[in-house]
Amino acid sequence: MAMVAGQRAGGAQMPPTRRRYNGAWIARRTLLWVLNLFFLFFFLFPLYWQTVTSFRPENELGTTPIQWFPTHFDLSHYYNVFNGPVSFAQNILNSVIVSTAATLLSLLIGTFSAYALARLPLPAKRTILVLVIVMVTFPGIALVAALFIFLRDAHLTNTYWALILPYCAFSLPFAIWVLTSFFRDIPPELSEQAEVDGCTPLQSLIRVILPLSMPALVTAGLLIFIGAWNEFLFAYTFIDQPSMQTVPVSIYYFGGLHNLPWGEISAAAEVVSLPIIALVLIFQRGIVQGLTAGSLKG
Amino acid sequence: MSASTISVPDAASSSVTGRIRSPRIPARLLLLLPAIIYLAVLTQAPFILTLWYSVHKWILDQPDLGRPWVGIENFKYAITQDTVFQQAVLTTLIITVLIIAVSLLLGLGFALLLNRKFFGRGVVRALMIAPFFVMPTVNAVVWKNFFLDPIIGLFDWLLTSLHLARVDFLTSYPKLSIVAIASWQWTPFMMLILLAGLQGMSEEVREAARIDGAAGWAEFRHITLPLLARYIELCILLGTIYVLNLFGEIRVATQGGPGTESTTVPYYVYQTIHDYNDVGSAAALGVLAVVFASLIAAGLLRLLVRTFREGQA
Repeated sequence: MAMVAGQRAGGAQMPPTRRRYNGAWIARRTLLWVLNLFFLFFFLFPLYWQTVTSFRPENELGTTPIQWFPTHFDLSHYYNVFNGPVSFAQNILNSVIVSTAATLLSLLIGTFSAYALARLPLPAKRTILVLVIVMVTFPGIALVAALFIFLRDAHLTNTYWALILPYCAFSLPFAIWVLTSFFRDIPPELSEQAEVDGCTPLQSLIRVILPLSMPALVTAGLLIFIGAWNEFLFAYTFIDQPSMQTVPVSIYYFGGLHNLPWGEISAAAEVVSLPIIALVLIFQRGIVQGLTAGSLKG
Repeated sequence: MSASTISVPDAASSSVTGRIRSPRIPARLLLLLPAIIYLAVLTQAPFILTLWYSVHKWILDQPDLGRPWVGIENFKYAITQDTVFQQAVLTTLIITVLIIAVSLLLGLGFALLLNRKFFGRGVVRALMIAPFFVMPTVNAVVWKNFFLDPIIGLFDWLLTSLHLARVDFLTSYPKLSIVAIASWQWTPFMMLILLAGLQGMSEEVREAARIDGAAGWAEFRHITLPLLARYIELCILLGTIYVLNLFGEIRVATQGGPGTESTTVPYYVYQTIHDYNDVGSAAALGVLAVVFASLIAAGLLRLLVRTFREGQA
């Protein structure tokens, strides 16, 4: 392989930072690039195809030979999506309300307990943390029947609470875990100083720890938001009124509303995927850290 | 507390030592209580209810039957007689193992590629994460209609242009179709964790190995892979926990079919409550699903702890 040859040619005596720009090096770089592009193409193609399809006029859909590139942009699918029998805009609004509320609620509760777990002397801390992790492994499907009956008896089905409450419950362990590991890394002297100056633990949390923890809060919040935004099982089971449904469920029902609605499906998929992908790209550094830190520390 | 501090030295205990001052326990517990109460009410109480339902016969649309106590009848039926459930357990195992294996291997390959510096690496990495955050139902809808459709899907176009026979993937290979759909989504996740592992590796160790003559495959096999073992296990553990609960993809793409061929445990639990209105059986199946998931998670955790200790020794 070119890579091996390059390493040998580099020689053991050379410092690792200097490189020789010979044929083998160029071949290695090219191979790396080609492999990367191949992978990237493979993984992004579904997203590309969905985008192209959403802009394609109705009469050009499903034609052979396949047109790999868009010829002209047509926005009619987007128009149809927002003017169908059930307003897709309403579904988006439902999703935004439910996901935002669940995120804020679980960050609020999660911050308090993470602070207690990271900073305050409490008995059986490790046991509590382990129990919190065990909660993550709890399959949602096992609780669906009981939660449904609970929500029905409390007259909460077909309300936003039917989703906010369970979403928060299932994201709370993640919030506690990520925030605890972040709070631990903040030098204890900072909050101790505040307490010497007369702050209560709660005040030192709000005035000292929280401002320093914005990156962790943003990351955990984003991941919780996306998780709630994408959730299907609860959304599908606890809500059956079309005007209260969230986006994943309305996408699922799209097939029944139109005749082979390729264009509309793609347009709807674009509308709900692009903001999330944009958020992920903007905050990608934090998200990568959140995903790995939340799972690797401990 | 002090005994456990000695035997398990970690970040948590170091922050505890020497800082136990005034007994302000009530205020501290007050901070922790909301989370505990919340989790107890919304996850543990429903689970206790589930246990309660599981020993009763309760069919929602037959209220005249009442809710008679049936003991372990629901469990006995599921384990010994319910062939759909037995098949669903097997299907769940097959699908989970395949999804984890495929996405782990692809993720490892891509992590190794991305670990080498090249122009535009940041952009490539950022773009690669995108599939993981795509809505699973959208993902399944797109794959079902644009790729796997037997008449107008792109895979069909590929087959016919190669003069091969048409294949209705979702009917002929429902399990593999689900595996393809979910692996596409999970590969970026595996890649991210493994890349973090690779980048945390010290360059000196590799350099030393290279000087000792290890290169290419040998370096990967004897240096990279052992150092990556903990991250690989983590990928398997986290992936398994989530993939065991796969539901939306199956609901959209195959509806558990054809017949019950792609019916997994979660999907079967859903059918039992939603289609048959059988709360008792669904609860029993749910309890079995929890046991099933816990056994797998516990096994994996033990593996994780053991290899982690070996790595430190």
